[in-house]
Amino acid sequence: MSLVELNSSRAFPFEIELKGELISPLGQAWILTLSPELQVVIGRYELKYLESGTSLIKVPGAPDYCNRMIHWREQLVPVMNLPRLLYCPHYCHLNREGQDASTPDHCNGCIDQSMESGLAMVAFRSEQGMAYGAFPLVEAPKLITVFADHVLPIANLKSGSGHGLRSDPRLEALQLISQAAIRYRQQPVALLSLARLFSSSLLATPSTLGQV
Amino acid sequence: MFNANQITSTFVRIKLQERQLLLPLDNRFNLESMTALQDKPGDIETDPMIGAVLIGDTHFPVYHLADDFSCISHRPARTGDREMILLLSHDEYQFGLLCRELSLVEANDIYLSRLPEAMRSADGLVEQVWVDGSIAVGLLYPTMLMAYLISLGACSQQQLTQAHVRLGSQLHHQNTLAFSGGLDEPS
Repeated sequence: MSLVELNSSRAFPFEIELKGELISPLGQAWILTLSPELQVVIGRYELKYLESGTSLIKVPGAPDYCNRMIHWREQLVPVMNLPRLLYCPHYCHLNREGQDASTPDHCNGCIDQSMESGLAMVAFRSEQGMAYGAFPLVEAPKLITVFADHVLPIANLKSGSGHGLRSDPRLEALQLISQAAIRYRQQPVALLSLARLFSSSLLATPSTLGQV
Repeated sequence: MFNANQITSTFVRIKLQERQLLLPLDNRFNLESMTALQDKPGDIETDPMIGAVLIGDTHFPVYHLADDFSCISHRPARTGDREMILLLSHDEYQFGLLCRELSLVEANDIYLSRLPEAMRSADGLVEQVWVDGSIAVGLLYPTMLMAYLISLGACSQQQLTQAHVRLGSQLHHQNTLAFSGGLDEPS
């Protein structure tokens, strides 16, 4: 069964008929395209807003995958460069073509480039209450409907994940910030744990993230 | 959240490389220009200091920090007179911190916000920021900075004074040898 890319006129919850059986979906989720090679899934109600034209504030000294933030509704919202986190130390499109991309500025360029398609503002519960984060997007988010047989264990992200990850530490990093894998277009895509991703606990796992 | 505005009326704003920091100002601060920076004594080679400032009888070892608070062991290439040294004192420890820029800011102009958790460095030194236009200025407590420098192996006033005494003694010894060996009279 393929995932249903939602028609906005179709209300949730609903049932679909497959081979004579009525099947209820588990829920709906958003596919976020963070780079040409990286898609992730978040829950439907975790995506709150799409922002565009927002100025980024650089925070030197912050982890290089999250060293920009926006001042949004009197809150400081961290902007997560997930491609940078997973492909670091020097993620950028030049890197994909095998060219030298050893200058960290290239990676900052990735965020600026992605900003052209806007920022996905996401919300999650943290220890301090409701918190916000943001992802730069290269495409508009897609709303999908998830059925039970699309949900896979995290371990599925290891093989044929379609994330373009080549080394184990990066896969471990992806697993660390995921709560499951969702099969989308025949590829397992990470269902993110936003609370884990935007917490400081990532810093406490240098063996996974610090060496990728 | 601790509100630093309530206990101090003035902050000193410094710039390391690109990173800007805000330190609550109290009577344990002095500001000095870079012109008094002396070479470090040769026998403190393991210490990451780049030199020292002598104020009265007190030596201030001077450190040059990168944006991630790692110690840079050399002086920056001088790009003008903008480098300044912020001097800090606490108990037996005195330190100088080389800054690209340094200025004073009134507390009334500052509004501190919590830095999002994901943006905090592993060192945990900066937990609050002041957003000044498009620039994020981190709040850093001097005692935490000094504790951090000490954890890196920074030397105390006593160690530095002893090193200078030894250095002075060596220089005196060398001069004595040179004198006793006879110096050519200038022609």
